[in-house]
Order: sequence, then structure tokens, then C-alpha cells
Amino acid sequence: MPIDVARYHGWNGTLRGPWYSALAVTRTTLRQVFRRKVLWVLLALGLFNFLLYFALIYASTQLPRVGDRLLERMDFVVRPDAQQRNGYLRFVEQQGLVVMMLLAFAGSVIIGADFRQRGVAFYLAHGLHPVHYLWGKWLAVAVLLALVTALPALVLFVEYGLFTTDWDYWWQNRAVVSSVLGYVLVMAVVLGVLLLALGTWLHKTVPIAITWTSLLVLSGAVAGQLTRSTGNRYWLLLNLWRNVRVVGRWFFGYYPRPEDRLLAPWAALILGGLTALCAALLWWQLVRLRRWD
Amino acid sequence: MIRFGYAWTALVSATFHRLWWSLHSLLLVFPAAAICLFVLRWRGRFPQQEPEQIVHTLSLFTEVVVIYMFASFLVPVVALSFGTTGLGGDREEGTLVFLLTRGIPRWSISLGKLAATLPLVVVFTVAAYWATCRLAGPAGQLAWQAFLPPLFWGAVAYGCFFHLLAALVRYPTIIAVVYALFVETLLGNLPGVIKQLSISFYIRSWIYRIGEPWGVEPPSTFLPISAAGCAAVLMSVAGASVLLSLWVLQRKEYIEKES
Amino acid sequence: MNDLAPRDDSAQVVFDRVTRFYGPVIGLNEVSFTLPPGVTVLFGANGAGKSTVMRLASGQIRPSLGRVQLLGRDAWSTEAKRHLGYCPDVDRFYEEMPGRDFVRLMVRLQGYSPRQARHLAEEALARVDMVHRAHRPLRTYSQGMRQRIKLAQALAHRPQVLLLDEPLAGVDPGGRHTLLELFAQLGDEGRCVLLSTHMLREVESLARQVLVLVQGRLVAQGTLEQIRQWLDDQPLLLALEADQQRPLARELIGWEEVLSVQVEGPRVLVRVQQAGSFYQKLNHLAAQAPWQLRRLEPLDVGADAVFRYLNQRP
Repeated sequence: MPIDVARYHGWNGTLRGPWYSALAVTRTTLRQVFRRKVLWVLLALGLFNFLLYFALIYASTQLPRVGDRLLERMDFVVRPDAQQRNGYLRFVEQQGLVVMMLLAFAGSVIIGADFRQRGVAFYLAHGLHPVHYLWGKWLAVAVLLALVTALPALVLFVEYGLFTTDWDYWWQNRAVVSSVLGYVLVMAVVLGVLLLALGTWLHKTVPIAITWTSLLVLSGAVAGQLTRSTGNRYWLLLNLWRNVRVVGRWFFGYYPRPEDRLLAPWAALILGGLTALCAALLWWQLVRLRRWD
Repeated sequence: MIRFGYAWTALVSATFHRLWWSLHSLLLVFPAAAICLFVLRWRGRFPQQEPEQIVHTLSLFTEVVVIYMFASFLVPVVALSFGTTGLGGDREEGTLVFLLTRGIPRWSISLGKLAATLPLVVVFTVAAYWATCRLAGPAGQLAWQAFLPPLFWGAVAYGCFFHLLAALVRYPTIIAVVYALFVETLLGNLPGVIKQLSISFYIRSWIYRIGEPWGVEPPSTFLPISAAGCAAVLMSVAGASVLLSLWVLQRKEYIEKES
Repeated sequence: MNDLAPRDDSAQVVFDRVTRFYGPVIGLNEVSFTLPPGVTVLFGANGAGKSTVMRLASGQIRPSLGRVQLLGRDAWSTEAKRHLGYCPDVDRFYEEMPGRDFVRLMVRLQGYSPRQARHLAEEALARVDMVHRAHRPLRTYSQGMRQRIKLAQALAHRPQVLLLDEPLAGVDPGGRHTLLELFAQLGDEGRCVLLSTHMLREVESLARQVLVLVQGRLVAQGTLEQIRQWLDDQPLLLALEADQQRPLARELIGWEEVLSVQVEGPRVLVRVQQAGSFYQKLNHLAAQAPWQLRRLEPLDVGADAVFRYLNQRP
């Protein structure tokens, strides 16, 4: 039978580049993650916090007497007064806890399973270089992060502007948008690369979760106790999660605790080193992947 | 009966062997070593020549190491690692079908998996605790004798509970990670009675009760229950989890798919 | 269902009006059959219910209605599983374990002593030609080698009933020949072997009986000759669509394979016997006729499926 009769024919459209094709990797990965019911539980947890802030903003803008009291400790402007905390920063940092849990379980689904069950070969058989594959996977992590942190924070920003009578709020506080996005970008780069590195090497949920919690939870406990017992604040730099927060706060230009300003460059250095190390581990895996390519 | 004995022993030893030589065992050494290193660095700050100094150090050691690092972190993580992978590993990897089509009772598969995982959970926890106490000096010696029962029963309760999760759900490790990070961390630290839903509350309560004579005091909102009550709850959680997991495996259909 | 197979008193596996639901989906619909000693081939397309039959027979799941028995015992029971060897279709193992250790472990899980297990495992490995390759970890095996190890663990404890789910998948042609000989041998030994496959041609020589499943129903059971005979006798209802129905109907009515022709709107409904011969003639007709045949749709799904399986038509 001639091939035309079988209706086989070449693709006549214009093929896009592999960086664009990597979006398919992102889409597939997100679909796999969203199939897990646990993810929805965590998203619901994040949503619960979002609703609390939503109600807080509503009360503080619509009920003046209640609002004054609520805004004594927290405000929703770029530079709150002394003693006050930036509401957006606080919200994003609280959502960070959901992110920590979410990524602890998602590492295996996002990338570990591809390596364990050799699914990565399917991606690489479609004209994608391993770099593009990893780019797609990183984007999936970034989207998940943004979904839990940046997106609801920006919705709160829109809400505050809508409920205040001063429509200039958005323009005057436009830096909030870049601050939130900057903070989330730091999280996405550091946590994303760390998670991908752990996923490519450890594959399964349990090893990833052990390492993840040791690096982000235990390191915090050890750092806190060492700082308390020695009085040396540089021990705080052992706390990786805190380092992410300290560097993220740079985008807000706002440090509620003075020692954070002092530690910020060191924290950035440590995170940079960790990210470079993880990137090197990923590169090592890339070399192995290319043998399959 | 002899045939059952052979089969069951084979199941236990194979599971134990697989878990012992797994990546989890290796990875768990790192947080345990980190705690030991921390204690080494930390003990230098607290002289322990006089009895009062020892008591003071013991009080701090209990708060920082026993409660914060062991009860709240290492014990659940160790239990999660082994507890969910004994039976859960077979479920996630799709190898449970080989066990379920053998001529051994289904409930005994659950019991065999637990018999292999629980010793690992307990031995790992106790060994890490022993090493930490040895490194902590005289205060550590006291803490070793005093707080071993709550940590031991805590490890058993967590181990059995995670084993039950493995019998119940398809991806137990994911659920267990969320449970350990969310229920245990978040609910376990909320004020009021809701924290009584977490296993770590009973371990910590027990530790606070034992530590009372040395001035180990809980936060004002913690409201610990009696040591006997804690022991009863932890043992009940373990016992109920074991019985439930046997019942679940005996009854439940496990349809393994290529995923 | 046509029940051509005689009732066998030595039936080792019994499916008695078995229905199985997966939630709202029906996986198996009131299926009854018995398996005597010897090789039986279970045949059907993807989703036909083959795996459900295998899972029910191996006691992994229970029927929603009806009963499944192995050697007179409930298939779910531990006693039944003592006499069962199961080769699943899923490609999952304890990957870090050498093949030999895996087979030994599986034998030991049947209750044999370590010494007996060693002996039985070696015997099984020899039967699947893996003795010299069984020392390597399973993760390093090719698809065919993994399939052989799965088979070895199924037959190592010399079970009376063997359920083999797609046992030839991934095995090279030479290996297939060896394994087919092994299956025939197992059948000759008086074991009851139920073998599910897509490739009837390969296994038809050793099949004592064939079960054909279509959409959860058992549509045919018996020897291949019996089924072919049944199919020839079985009128098959086809709907044909052409740009001119009446010339088509006129042409068809004269054929000896055609029992009746009915023009119904744009369709011509044809009841035929000896479908193979009919299809061949229709091919020639469609190539030569001035009118165009647009569509051919079998309305009797079961009989058509059996026909397609037997003729290996996609």
C-alpha cells in the first residue's frame, strides 16, 4: 500500500525550538503532580492562609476601627512603618512552609520517577537536549511555587487596591510586584535546582524527603541552638531555609531583624554555592543522560 | 506450620536485608551524624563538673536534643523511612503481587513486613540516641536511662502507624511525609487540645513528666498528660495500627498497575 | 456464549457465573468456564478482561458475583495459592536482587526449606535456560531475560495450576520456541496452564482449548477446530455502505455465503456464513465494481472479534 493511501505525511508546519518544546515537559510534569490528591490537600492549606489574609485585608480596609488594630503590627505597603511587618512578605514566607512540604513529596513525581523508570528516554528521543529537559522540569517547579506563593500574593495586592478608596495604591506600591516576584524567583532557583539535583540522584520519595527535611528542617534546629548557646549569629547561616528568606527579603529592602541585613551577603554566598554544587551534580547526571541520548 | 515458618522467616529476612542495604539506611546516618556533631560542639559550652551543672546541662540537653531533635525530627523521619517502605515499597514498585500470590496468609505478609521494619526503626533510633548521649557526657548518661522509654515507644508507635498507612494507601511515603511535616509539626505545636492528635505530643509529654525533677518544663500552653497516660496511648497506637494493618491486608484487594 | 467444551470432571480452575465490577465499570460479565489439565489459551484484545480473569484466578481480587475456584478451593484462599504459579504481566522486580536469589526467595515464600528452595530454583532456572545468567542483578536484564525469571518463579515450586499472563512478551523468536516447548511440556505433565496472549498463531499448536474474551464476555470456548467450525456455522451480521445500495445488494444476494440481504436506508444489512470466504469475495468485488464501498461494519461484535482473532486481522 502506498504510504499516501495510509495517510502518513510529513509535518508541514514550522517546528519551534527545543526551549519552547520544553514547555511540553513542564505541562506533562504538572499534570502528573496534579493527579496526586495530596497536592490538593496542600493547595487547600495554602488557600486557607490566603483566605485569612483576604479577610484581614477586607476587614482592615472596610472596617476602620478593626482595621486600625489589625494594621498596628502589619501593613500592606512597600515600606511599612517601624514595628510593622510587610503583610505580603509575611504571607509569602508563611506560604513557604506549604512549599517546603509540597516539594518534599513532589521531588519523586517531578523528576525522580523519570530516572527510576527510565521515562527520561522518551523525552530525549524527541529532539530535546538534556538541558532542555531539565529546563522544562525546573519550570514545573517554578510554576508550582508561583501558584502557592506569588499568585495569591499578587491577588492580595489587587484586592488591597480595590478595597481602598485611593486608586493610586497600585502605582505607589508597584514595587510590591517586583519584590514578590524576586522573592519567589530566589526560592524557585535555589529550591528548584536543589530538588532537581536530589531527584536525579535519589529518585524515590523517602530518600528525597530524608535529605530535604534534614537540609531544611534539622539544619534550622541545629543552627538555632548553636546560635543560642554560643551567642555567635553566624551559626544562623547553617539554616538553609532561613538563608532563602534572608536573601528573598532583599527584594523587599526590608529586614525586621537587624542581624539579617548583616548576614544577607553571606546567606547569598552560601545559597549561590549550594546552587552551584547542585548544578554540578545535575551536570554530572546530564553527562550520563547523554549516553542514553 | 513448618512450611508457614519457613515462608514467614524468608519474608522477614528478605525484607530486612533489602531495607538494611537500602539508600535510606545510608541517608539516615547523615542527620544522626549531624546531631552527634552538634552535641560535640554544644557540650563544650556547658561544664559538667558539679551536680548542679549536670542537672542544668541535662535540662538543656532534654529540651534541645531529646525533644527538639529526636522526638520531633529524627524519630518520625526514621520511622517514616523504614515504616512506609517495608510494605509500601512493594506497593509502590508493584512487587506486592509476587507476595500476594504465594501460599502464605495475607495477614502474615503484613506481620512479616512489620517484623522486619520495626527492629530497624527501633535499632536505628536507639543507636543514634545512645551515641548522642555518650557524646553529651554525664548529663547524657542520665538522659540515656531516663528518656529511652518514651523514645523507644515513640519509635514503635510511629513505625506501626506508618506501616498501617502503607497497608491503606497506594503511595504511603507521600502521605507519611505530609503527615510528618503537617500534622506532627503544625498540629503538634498548636495550643489547646488539638495537639493531642499527634503522636509526638505523647512522646514530648512523657519526656516532660520524666524531666520534671531536673527542671525540664514545658511551654505554658503545652499541658502535658501523665507519663502512664502517654505510655498507654503510644502502646495503643502501636497495637491498634498493627491489628488494623493485618485486617486491611487480609481483606483489601491490591490491583497493581504499571504506572 | 457457545459452550463447546464438554464438562470436565477433572476441572482444576472453575469460573462460575463470575462478574467483576471496577466501580461503575464492568470488567468481566457473567463468565463461566472450567479449565482441565493441559494448556488453555486465553485470548482477547486489550481491555477485553484477560487481566481480570488472571487476577481473579490468582486470588488477587474477588468476584463481585459468582465464584472462582482452584482445585476445589476458593481462589482467594491461602490453600489454593499453595498450588498456584503466577507469572504477572507487570514488569516489576526487586531490581537489586540477582535473578537466582529472586527465584529462591519466591520458592521459600511457598514454604520450602532453604535447601529445597535452592534445588527447586536451579531446576526452574534450567527449564527457562537462565542458569548461567541468573547471578546478575535483575536491573541489568533484558526484557526477555526478565520474562524468563518471571516464568521461573512461577513454575519453580511445581504448582498444579499455572497462570501465565503474556509470558512471551519481549522474548526473542528463538526464546519463544524454547518457551513454547516448555509450556507444552508443562501441559503434558498434567498441569493446568492458562496462558494469555495476543498471538494465537504462535500458541495454537499447543492449546488444548481456547477462551475468547470480548468486552468482558466469554464469546467462545473450545478447541480451535470447534471454534472455527462454530464460526463458519455462525451467521455474522454486517452493515455495508456504498454510494449505490441496490446494485450492491443485487450482487451479494447471489453469493452462497450470504443468507439474507436487506436494504435499510443508506445501509445494506447482510447476514453471512463462512465469513472468511465472504470477505475475500467482497475484496475482489470492491476493487472491480463501478460503485464505491464506503464502509463495512460488523454488527455482531462477538463473532466478528473471534473471526478477527483467528485470522489475525487488526
